[in-house]
Amino acid sequence: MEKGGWNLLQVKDLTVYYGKALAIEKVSLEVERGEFVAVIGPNGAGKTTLFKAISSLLKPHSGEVIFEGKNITKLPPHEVAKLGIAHCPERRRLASRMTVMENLELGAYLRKDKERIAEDLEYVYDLFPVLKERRNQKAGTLSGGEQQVLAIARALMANPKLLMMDEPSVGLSPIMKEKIFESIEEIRRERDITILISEQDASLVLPMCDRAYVMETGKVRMKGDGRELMRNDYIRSSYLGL
Amino acid sequence: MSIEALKLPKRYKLVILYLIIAILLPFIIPSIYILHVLILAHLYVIYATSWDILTGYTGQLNLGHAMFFGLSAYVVGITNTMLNFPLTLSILIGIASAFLLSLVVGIPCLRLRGPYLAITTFSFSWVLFLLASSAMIWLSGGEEGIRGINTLLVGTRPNYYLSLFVMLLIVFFLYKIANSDLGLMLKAIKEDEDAALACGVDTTRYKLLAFIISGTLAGVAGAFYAQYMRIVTTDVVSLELSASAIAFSLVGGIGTIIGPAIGAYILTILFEGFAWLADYRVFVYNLIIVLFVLFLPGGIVSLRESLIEKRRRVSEHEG
Repeated sequence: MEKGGWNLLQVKDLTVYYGKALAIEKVSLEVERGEFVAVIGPNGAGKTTLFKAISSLLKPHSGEVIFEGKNITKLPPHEVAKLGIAHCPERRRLASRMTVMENLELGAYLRKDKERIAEDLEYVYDLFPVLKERRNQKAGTLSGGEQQVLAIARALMANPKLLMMDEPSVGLSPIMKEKIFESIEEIRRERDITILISEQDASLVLPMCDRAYVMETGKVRMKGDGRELMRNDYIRSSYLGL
Repeated sequence: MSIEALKLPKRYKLVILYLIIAILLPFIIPSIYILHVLILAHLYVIYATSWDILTGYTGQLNLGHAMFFGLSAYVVGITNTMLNFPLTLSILIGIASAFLLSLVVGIPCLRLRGPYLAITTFSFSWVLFLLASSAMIWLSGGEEGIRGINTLLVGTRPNYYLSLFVMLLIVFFLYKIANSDLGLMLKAIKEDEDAALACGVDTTRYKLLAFIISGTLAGVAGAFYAQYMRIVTTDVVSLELSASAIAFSLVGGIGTIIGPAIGAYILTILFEGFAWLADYRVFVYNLIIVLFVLFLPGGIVSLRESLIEKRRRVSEHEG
């Protein structure tokens, strides 16, 4: 199949309710193979809901999620993971009693290629040396930034086609935020991977990403090229504080 | 040397010491009564550790664990005394009934998240208690219970060794599971089920597996109890038996397999040693649960770890 000729991920008119409360309404989004796409928006805009609906952790009310041309809307979440979508959940909810190593093993749960797993383990250890140092430590004893790094590393251990990161920088110090985003750039440079990221801090992610979607109150308000959006007056005043 | 390397041999030493004492005990203390208490302790160790693999280890709250123990015990009693089945067959049917019950309760509940499992397990065990104590007295014998069940081995000492053997086998099995790849998945489900799902783990399947293991092994304890006591009364499906699983585990250390085993030993002996406490059993269980949750949520096992940690800090300070 032609590379980049069609979308890796296609979200069509996705609507999700929490009980009776409408969380996201008719959200559509496309991610092409190899792209780095960001979803920005304030708290409560529906970014986490959208990500959870893509990875089937939430059942949408209507709409479709299509991955590599296949409708995955009704698949259970572990089947979605099997297809190559790694969802790195928000708030770095990491297994606190599990060691760093055990978390990385969990990330590689679906894989059988032992040698490649070992290679990838070396790769994430090179990328995040702190994880190698602390590999036998319980994840709960790591700092917030280290836990986020571990969450990303765990998702990478699945060797996914699509890496979805939900607000990887939330609650971190500015220095740690920058470090995380530097690592994400590095991953992108070195691996054949497609990234979908959600982020509140537009100034961090807009300069890096190919395209971005702006979500507000459960809807896509705007979309476009990352750098173009940075020049947009609305984005400048509402998101960049300029 | 790392602290891990220092800890391991000591742990083995403790296990070996325990095994020697457990095996020699009937010769050191020939008291039939004490052996009887220890047989019960062995059964409660099976019962508590089987609860722990599901609730402590996998994080699926079971508030009615007595239903597995009790159903199995009743089925052994009924099939052996009323249907005159051979005892071994009765025991197998008893264990199989606990297995089936774990499927009946587990399949619908484990798909759901939240408090459903806790509510359902509590209700199921309560229904079973009501059936045994009133609605189906014709079958259960009510307070009088079912009497005259056959026994596999006559005598306290043989039963002591058999219960010790079965208990060790089961605890070893559960300990192995806890430290295997399967155990890692169970632990991951407890920590964060969404994260486990996102890693591709079919969590429903693993939860059901943990549920089946848990219920079936509690059934083994119940079947052994029936043939050893030779009488089954409503005690085996009581609320206090369900509560005791939680109390045993909290005292020893929830989610550690070994902890609940230690807790079951200690509390069983405690209640027998202070027999007058038995009337206040449910009260004492609840008191223990509250106190441990407040002051030592990790149980006795964590006390040891925290002492090691403290000692390590002291020695680091000195060295």
